[in-house]
Amino acid sequence: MANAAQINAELAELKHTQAYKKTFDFTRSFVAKANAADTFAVPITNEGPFLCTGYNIRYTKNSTMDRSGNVTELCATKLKFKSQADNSAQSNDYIPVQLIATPGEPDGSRYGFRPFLHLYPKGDVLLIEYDNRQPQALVPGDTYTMQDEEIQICFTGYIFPMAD
Amino acid sequence: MLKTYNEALFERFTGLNRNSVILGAKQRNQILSRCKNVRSRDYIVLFDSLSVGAGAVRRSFTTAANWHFILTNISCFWHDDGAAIAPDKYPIARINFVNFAPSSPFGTEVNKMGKVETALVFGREAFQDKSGNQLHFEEAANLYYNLGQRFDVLVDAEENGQAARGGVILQGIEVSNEALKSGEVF
Repeated sequence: MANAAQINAELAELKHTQAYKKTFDFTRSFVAKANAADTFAVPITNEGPFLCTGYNIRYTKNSTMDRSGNVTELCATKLKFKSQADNSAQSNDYIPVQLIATPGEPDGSRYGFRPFLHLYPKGDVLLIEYDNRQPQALVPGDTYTMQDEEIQICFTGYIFPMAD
Repeated sequence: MLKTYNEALFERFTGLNRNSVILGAKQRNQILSRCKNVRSRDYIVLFDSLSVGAGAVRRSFTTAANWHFILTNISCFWHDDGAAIAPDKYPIARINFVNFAPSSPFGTEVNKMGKVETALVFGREAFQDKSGNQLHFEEAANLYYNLGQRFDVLVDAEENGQAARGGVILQGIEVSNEALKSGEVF
């Protein structure tokens, strides 16, 4: 029967080697094609279940809206995330990326964090759905010019290699 | 770093802050067993335009079977179509929970209309681009409303309020029946 010293030594080793729990950044860049909506799947990790605690998302603003000669740069992309394993979406509908993104442009300094908890089982696949189609004109005469947008996501959290 | 209710609830429901280590093979699936019963969730309600007496949107939501939704944050956003009249008082959009009457976050009398006072807030901002167009945004955070498995949301304009195309995001966490029955709820 193990004594307290042996147990503590094993616990310390687990923590120091991160065999029990380690931080993990799941990152992915993709292009939301202009005037398109699509879904694609990205395998997360086979190392263990991934507990996502939040994310950092950045995007480009290559599209424009012209209102009476005033041109505004914008990103009209909407996103939806889903776990393939439990068939659970993170939202009931698409959400404009501007509302869930964090400051900064792709490849720039990482800043900010939107808390969001989701457990992805070992070997799970993240389904990313985007909609980058032209919005309806808010004011008659509004003209949209849609372009491809680069979206960078970073889901941060922990992997538990010893968990099932 | 100060924690929001959202983050505090994560730790409370998942028990991950207890630093316990499971070594036995039989208990491996217990490491994250409580995490399997908690997840974040966004519900979004969009509107084309809001003004007093017009444009109100009502949506009914049902969670996945055996999951309950606890609301922790409300974000309201809307665009400026150039003709919108900036209201003298906030908020522009009212978020009403039909058949649900939470008490005010500050412990005052029960609001029979089930209206969440986003004006008692927590932040209101407007983002202006080069052309002067504005995306308005306001937020109420650190809420705790257990809306259950079925809830109705009515979004309409506050007195003198007017807004063009926007929406409301209800953010919170979903908790399974199993987690609620375990008694780990506060």
